[in-house]
Amino acid sequence: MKQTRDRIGDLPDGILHYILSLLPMKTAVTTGILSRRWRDMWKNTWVNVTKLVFDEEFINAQTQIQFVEAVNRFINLSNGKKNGKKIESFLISFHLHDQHQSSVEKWIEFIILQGIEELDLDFSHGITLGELDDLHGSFIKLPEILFSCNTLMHLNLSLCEFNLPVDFSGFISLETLQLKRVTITDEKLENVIFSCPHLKTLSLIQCFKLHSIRIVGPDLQLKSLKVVHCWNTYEIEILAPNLQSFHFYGDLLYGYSFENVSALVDVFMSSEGFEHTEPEHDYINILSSLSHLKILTICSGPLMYISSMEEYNRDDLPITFPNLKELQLQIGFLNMEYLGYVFSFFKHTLENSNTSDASTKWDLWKPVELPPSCVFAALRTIKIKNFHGSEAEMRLVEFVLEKAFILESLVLVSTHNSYSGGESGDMRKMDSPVECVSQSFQTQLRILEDQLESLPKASVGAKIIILCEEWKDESTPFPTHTECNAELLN
Amino acid sequence: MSSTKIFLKSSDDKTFEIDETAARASETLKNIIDGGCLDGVIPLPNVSSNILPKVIEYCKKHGGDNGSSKKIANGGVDKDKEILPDYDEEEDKREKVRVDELKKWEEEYMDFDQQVLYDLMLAANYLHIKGLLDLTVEKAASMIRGRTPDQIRENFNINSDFTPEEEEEMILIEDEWDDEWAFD
Repeated sequence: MKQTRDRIGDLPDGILHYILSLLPMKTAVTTGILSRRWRDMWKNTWVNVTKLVFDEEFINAQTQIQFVEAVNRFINLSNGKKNGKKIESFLISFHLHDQHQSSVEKWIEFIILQGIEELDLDFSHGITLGELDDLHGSFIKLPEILFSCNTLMHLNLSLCEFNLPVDFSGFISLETLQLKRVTITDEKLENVIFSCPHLKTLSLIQCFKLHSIRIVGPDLQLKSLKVVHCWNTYEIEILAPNLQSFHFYGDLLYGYSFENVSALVDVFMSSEGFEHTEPEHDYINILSSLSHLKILTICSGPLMYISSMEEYNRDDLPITFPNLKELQLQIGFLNMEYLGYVFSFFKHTLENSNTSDASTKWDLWKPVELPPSCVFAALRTIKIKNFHGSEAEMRLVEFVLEKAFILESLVLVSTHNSYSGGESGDMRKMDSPVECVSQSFQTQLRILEDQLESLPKASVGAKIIILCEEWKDESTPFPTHTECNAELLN
Repeated sequence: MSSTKIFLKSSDDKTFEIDETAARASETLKNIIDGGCLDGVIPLPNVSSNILPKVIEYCKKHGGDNGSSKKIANGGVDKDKEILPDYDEEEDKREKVRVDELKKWEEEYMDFDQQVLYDLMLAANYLHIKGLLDLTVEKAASMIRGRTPDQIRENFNINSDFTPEEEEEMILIEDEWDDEWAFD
């Protein structure tokens, strides 16, 4: 009865192909030497595969040449054998420079004929920002044929040259576009936005040739815009009636312009780490055009600006956020000075039962006073980044807990090095399988937790959560507020 | 809501009862029911009484709630939601609870040995129960992923039936691939 039978080999081809299709290519190819039953199985699976993934998992290639040859092999295998099956998605994640231009062109030519919908070319895999300069612009140039592809819905490009052909008539199916380290100019970007009628999500990351970004069009379908570390950008102009989410992370801009953004509910504007620069532009003007926001993330720049305006006795600043549900503060180190900025922001922007209360005016030389009359009418989530447990922070936490009546979560984010003493451990990371918290650190944490729990709360059910988020990817804003938000909704 | 009962007969002539709503989780059974030629008992000559209760258990969990089970199958995350904060948070929480509960159920349900895995894959394939096929095939794939050929052979009792000449040929082909492929 206990005879060892090769039962997996008895399974019908369909099931074996299904199993093989779930394996990384490297493993799938390995199965070819198991037995006769398996010898050509993976090749037949391969020709019917609709998602091609060429990443580090796919091959242990040491050099660009090895990688390119392996991809060529696979492409040749499928070439001409596709039985009407299209390739829906194609992903490359390997650093290649322009020496392999002709191979890349062949791959793109091939997949376009297969009705590609999702194309992800990450040629900057493993390349740090510092190494970028050493490449001397030897980037892959996207071939013209790509720009005539009508089936593309998602395009994700990294480290390549984006040269629109003169007769570019738009990607008519394109919904998401992400450009990272892509050489694209202001004019070309504007052309793309103008000629992709269904574009809903646009991310621009480390695109250094962008100076003035214009996202303008009364008919734009764009819902989400992300601009991260485009260092040479000095202004952003937005006129997009369907835009719901705008995330900006990077050095201070000299000009923001928001017009016709009635759908915008989520704004992330952070220049954290660049605060030494004096804010040059009128945040009051910017923020007052965003009064319908539900989610707001800001750094200290706007807070400082609002504070400084108070000195001109502008107590009637036209900024309110009556619908604000979530607020995230990104302040490098929250001391008493910055606490003053935060409080004057609260005083002016949140529901204020008594606006004529001028006695709470912030003065650098006076002790920080709480704005007594303001309440958080709609706030459900407050997230404070770089939490150390300092006195100023504890006062902020106290204040928030006392004033936010329907608060659900107060999230305190500690970053890797934010605790003094340079402990290497994380704080408590929620749901994290990795626990690398040192003993003294845990003690410290427990004391802090006890302190926090004993504070009086206006909203009895409010949870206080201590998170540790590590900044893994230099190209994304940190911490990613919406992701944390999703986490909190469980 | 009471549901019509359906009777299924296994290959070894044992009869099992299942609610019609649950049976509809199987495309094959659904077609038979909708085809109207339902005459008391549906014979399933390819499914034995060892495995049929296990299949029925899956159908009971997944039949009947077609609308919401789809969402769960997609991991419960709607791409649009991320950029559209104006959704019903309460509904989202309930959804999350449902997904978590289902994941836990799946974990317990999938705790069985390799022989059951083969039978379930075959039954799910035959009865066209996509969710169950996805689940079982993924389990099989996870037993192969990241393993060397020898480990896979041992794990699944696969005997290499290549002749010595073929074996040599395979090695040659392997060597060719090895130019680019370094199996670790």
